[in-house]
Amino acid sequence: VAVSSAVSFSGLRVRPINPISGMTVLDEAGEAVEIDRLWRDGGGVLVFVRHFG
Amino acid sequence: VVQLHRELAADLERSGAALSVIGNGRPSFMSGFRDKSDYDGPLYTDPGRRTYRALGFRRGLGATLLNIDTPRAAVDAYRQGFRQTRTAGDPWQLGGVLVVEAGGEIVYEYASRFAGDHPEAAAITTVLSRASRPAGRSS
Repeated sequence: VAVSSAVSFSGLRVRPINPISGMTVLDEAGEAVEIDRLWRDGGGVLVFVRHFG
Repeated sequence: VVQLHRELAADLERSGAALSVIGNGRPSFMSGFRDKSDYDGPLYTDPGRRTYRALGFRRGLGATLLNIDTPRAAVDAYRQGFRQTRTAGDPWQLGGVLVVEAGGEIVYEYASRFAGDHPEAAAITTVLSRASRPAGRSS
């Protein structure tokens, strides 16, 4: 059964799969880092900021 | 970000989870962010905003400048001493917060509804306390 994400009025969501697993981000040296590394060792809190301003 | 990091410090320590900040734009933007925010934790960028899109984070004028809640959030932030400086990244993009368990399961997700909208640290604390609780124990 396909379950799409739902957004409540509080901004909270429920999601059945992790859609960013396997993706990469860049570190400050410009090197690619698999995003899974950010939670693989004990879990992670990922804060996505609007921009760096 | 720094405020959230401080508020969650003890919970992060207790749970073993690490806080990482992800922005968008060029990697060179990150040094300016560190200077302005005093944030000294893990920092990354997603220049193509693939992760933002995959997570469905809102983007556009309606979510940012033209959103009715944005001015109020800007005033609140100003009163707390935060100052918006030159934008380094996508000005129309909104962010959010995830809590991801070591196995990759997203156990908490908050998508900002307008510029300046953030989750309460207490909500993340609750999730972290559950995540760090030994299996088989209930509250």
